[in-house]
Amino acid sequence: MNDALYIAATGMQTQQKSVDTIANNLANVNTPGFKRGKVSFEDLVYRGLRAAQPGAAGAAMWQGSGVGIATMAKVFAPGEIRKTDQPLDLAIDGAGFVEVTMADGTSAYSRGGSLTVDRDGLLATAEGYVLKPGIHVGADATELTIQADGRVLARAPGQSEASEVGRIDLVRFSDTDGLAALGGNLYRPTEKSGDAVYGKAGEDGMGRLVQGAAEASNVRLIDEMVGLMAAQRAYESNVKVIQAADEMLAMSNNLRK
Amino acid sequence: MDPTIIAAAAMQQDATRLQGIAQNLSNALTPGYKKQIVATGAFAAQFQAASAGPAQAGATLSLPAQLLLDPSAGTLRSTGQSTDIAIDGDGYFELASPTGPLYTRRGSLRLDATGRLVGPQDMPVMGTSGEIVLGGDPFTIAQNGDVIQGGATVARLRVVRFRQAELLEPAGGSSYAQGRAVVDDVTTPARLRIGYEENSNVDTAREMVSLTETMRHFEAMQKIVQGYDEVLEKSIRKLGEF
Repeated sequence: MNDALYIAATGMQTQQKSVDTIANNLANVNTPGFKRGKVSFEDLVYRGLRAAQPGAAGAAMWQGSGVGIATMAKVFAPGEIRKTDQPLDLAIDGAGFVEVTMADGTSAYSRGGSLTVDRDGLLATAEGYVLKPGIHVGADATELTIQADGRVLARAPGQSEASEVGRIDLVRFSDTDGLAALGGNLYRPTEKSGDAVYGKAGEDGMGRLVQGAAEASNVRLIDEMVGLMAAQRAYESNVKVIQAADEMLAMSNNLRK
Repeated sequence: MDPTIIAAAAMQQDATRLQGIAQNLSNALTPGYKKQIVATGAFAAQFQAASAGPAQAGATLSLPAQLLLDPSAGTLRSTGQSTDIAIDGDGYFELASPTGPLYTRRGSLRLDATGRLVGPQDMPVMGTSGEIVLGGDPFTIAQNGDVIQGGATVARLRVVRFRQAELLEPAGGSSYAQGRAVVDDVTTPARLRIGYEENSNVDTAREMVSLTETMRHFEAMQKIVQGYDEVLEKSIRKLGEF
């Protein structure tokens, strides 16, 4: 009987986590490049009380232990690509990521966004993380063009026309959903996602680069609201079970008046 | 037999039933979850079996409960992700777990770091000829279970159908061990729905009704114990007056 209490408590905890994730998704409904989080549930291990025996009456007896969180992952479904006409806005139309160097020298992966040219004339993300391999554009270059296949062209002062200064390569992962989010539209590979696979933009399902566009958040408002209602009602039914289990305990205690 | 023993056994059974309801309600939103049903035998048969033996002091009556699964399909929900595969109709995907095959209706598939196609709890999904290794390249799954990579069919998902699927035993993570269920058919290709996930088949309204029912039954049993206790108390008092 106590087990019913604990089982229902696991239900409340997981629904709480689900609401937390929905809250984060809704808060980021307008964040460019944001990928929605998804909590998926699984029933927890079962405790075998009696093993199956041959014969009609020999059914196995087990007892569940509630619900738990199977995975909390990002869903990398593409967001809508919106034109911004800012020459330094870069979107990836496909599954690829751009590699950047973090402050500690390690690599992280980004879905694009607003780029900048940093102090040293290198292409960097808006947060200042330099693209890897570094692309030297020059601080006062003009006519910056990023082509769909990743080639970057710029015209340095004194040049008559733009010339190729580097190329943005893309990477992908065998399981994109296994990436760990670092915030700020940056992701880091994990054991689950596997290592980065390098390739050229436009090849091997990497996707192509779109200059002057930004990827919108892939949060779908209606889905989130429906999820919120479902989570709330599921939470409620677990509360009812806890109340019932509590009542049952009270009744057993009152057997002796 | 002492009525308190009968009432106690019934209350014990109500507690088991409440656990089942708690388990079902807590998994009302777990994809691929199959609700469990606490089935009990007829009281008369249990009572006769218990009374047939020699009378013993402190005899207890236990009403054995049996747990069954309700293998009926849940509704399908569109997820829009091409790696979410639901089975339309009968059947289970087979997973290779370290302790033997497990079966699941939850088809959120993905590639693991070694390029194998895996299902819930990162267990490899079985094809008609063993594990499906795809490497890192993109793939699609057709409605008949064919795994297509680079335009060629490289594997086919194995779908197992059971006779008496209610005898499967839950193993957690929306997967089930074979238990006493008998494999019926493994060759007929499945009808799959791509981009769908199967909802839990728990009907919350029905669970709430059984919750109320169980509580009232428990309450009634409690009254029986209390009433019988009162009878005993009165008899002892009356007899003491002589």
